[in-house]
Amino acid sequence: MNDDSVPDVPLAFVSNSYLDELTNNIRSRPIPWDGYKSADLISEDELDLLKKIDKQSSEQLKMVMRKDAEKYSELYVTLLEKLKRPDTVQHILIFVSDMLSDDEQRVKFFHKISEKDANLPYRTFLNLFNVDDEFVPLMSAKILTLLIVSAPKALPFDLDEFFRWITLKLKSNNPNVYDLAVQILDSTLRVPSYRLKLWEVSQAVDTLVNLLKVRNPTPQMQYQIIFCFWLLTFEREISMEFNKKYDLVPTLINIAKAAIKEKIIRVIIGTFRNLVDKAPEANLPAMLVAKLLNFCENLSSRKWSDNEIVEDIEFLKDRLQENFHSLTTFDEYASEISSGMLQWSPPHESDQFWRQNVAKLNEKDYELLRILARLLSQSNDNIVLAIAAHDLGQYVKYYPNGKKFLQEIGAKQRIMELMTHDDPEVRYRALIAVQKYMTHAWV
Amino acid sequence: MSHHTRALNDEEVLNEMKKMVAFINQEAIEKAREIKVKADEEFNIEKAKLVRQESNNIEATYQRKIKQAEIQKKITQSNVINKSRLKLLQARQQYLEEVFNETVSQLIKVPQDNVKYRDILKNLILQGLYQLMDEQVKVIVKKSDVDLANNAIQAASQNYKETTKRDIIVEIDKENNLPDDSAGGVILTSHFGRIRINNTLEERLVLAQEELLPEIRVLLFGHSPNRKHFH
Repeated sequence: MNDDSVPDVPLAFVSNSYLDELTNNIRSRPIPWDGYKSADLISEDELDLLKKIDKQSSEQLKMVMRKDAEKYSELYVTLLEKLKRPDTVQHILIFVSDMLSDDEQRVKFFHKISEKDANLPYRTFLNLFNVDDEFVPLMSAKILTLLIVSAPKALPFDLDEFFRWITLKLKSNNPNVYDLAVQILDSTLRVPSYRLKLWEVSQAVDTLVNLLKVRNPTPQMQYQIIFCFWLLTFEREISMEFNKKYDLVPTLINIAKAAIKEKIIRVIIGTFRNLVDKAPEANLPAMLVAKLLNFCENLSSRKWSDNEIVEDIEFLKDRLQENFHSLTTFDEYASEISSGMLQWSPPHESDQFWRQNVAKLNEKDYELLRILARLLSQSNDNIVLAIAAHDLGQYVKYYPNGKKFLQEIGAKQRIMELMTHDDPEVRYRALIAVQKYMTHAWV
Repeated sequence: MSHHTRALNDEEVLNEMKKMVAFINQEAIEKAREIKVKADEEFNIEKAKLVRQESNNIEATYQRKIKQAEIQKKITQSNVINKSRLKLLQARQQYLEEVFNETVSQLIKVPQDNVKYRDILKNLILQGLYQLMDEQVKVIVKKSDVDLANNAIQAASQNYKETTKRDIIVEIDKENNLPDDSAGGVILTSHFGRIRINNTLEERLVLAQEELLPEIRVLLFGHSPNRKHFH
């Protein structure tokens, strides 16, 4: 089913009304090319070529490009190299942009130029980043983006420079500017080899995360930033470190919960899917702690107009459930208790776990119970106290015969003491534990 | 309070429609891009898998070929070694044959020393008598050796009787003789020719060849370089 009327997905998709407005303003201030010829700034041939496309209709442009695209790509680069006046440069950039947005395939003629001189045309556009003008750097960046993502072989310049400039733009106070910067990344990161490059450029991802968390982006901006993250997480190395470095999972869950637009949830779930796909060991535990499983169950009960999101949600749910069950092994629990570093890991709150494993706490002369009791008495960490109290409550709930032992080792007294502890969570857990203790007291 | 509701004019309607179209277009491109990204990733994974499979296949084929070449090389080496060993053996065999042939031709000179030859005859006869342990023995000799033989017989019989304390009659066989071109020696028979002992010089030489072959080999070629044990 080959339907040529359906256009291809653009390789570089960078535009906003701000850039459009700047462009239109520049278009309305024409350049006197004849004057340039008289001043010997351009040649007769160059003037002819320019006349054929300057201020012409789009049909005219198409006709000209059909025959002479190669000539024009060379012309534009040559002019950009030799003419430095801001308004001239602005116009030529618009010519380039018009040529490429009409048909992205024409970018191959620009790549051809690099066969004669490795610096051209990439360095040409790269150098324009430094021009002191609102429009020129942005438009150059947009054009360079297309060049970068369509490059037939390795580029002869270091992308670090490019990414560092983008990072700078991400920090801009002008939302229009950082909008374009994020869009540029959305296009650039589609190329797998550039993803690790960006990840390594210092502050690039930091700035993106900051944009998302702190600077209160619009929904469209949220989507664009998370789209970047989605692209980045296709690389295993990045998926292994992303959450650890930026605590991404809870952040994205919160955004997804508050999101109105389906595409934001879509791209968040896609990111989660990648994290699980590429680095499950690094991410599943954190996801379980962040209660992603609950959220997924919630999501899967909703109606979605999109098939992919349903698939991704089901995938996540399955993997989370699988992992949840494998994590509630008694050995994991025992090693956690023995280490003294109690966390709200899955076993603690799983009724199934307690039902199956409660008797094991009595093994080896009540080894684990003694540890819990000791932690309860000696620890200064409120989380540890809360969890220990909670666990002992679960113990007596599922093994009432253990009450006597807890009393003997003074654990019962200690729990009751904790009901008046400073920390509300500790008080709460102690109270619930005492409640469990007291239930069945009439048995 | 001013009303903001009124019918939109054509231009405004067109503008609104343009905005909606732009919005739908944007959403569509974004979704299409997501699909493309997923498709590209799946393609890359599949391609990597196929490349890996094929490289493994090529690697395996290559290893097989190397092994085959090594085996072939070993076979060729082995063949070459065998050939040269055969040549060596053949050359040595030739030398041995030359030695033996030379010896055979020397054999004829033995009887030239009468005294020694008589002694030889006596010992050959005596050995035969011991082997036969019979009462009557006939001795076949060359016609030209008859006299010497009679002498030898006497001495041998004497020895035999002393050693075994038995009596024996030893006679020269008058009907049979060794051929004239024989080097010499005796053939002893008993029981009407039913038991024979061949003690001709030729026969003795053959026996000597067989027994002494190992020593001769060492004399000619030295010990085998691989040999570890010696008596």
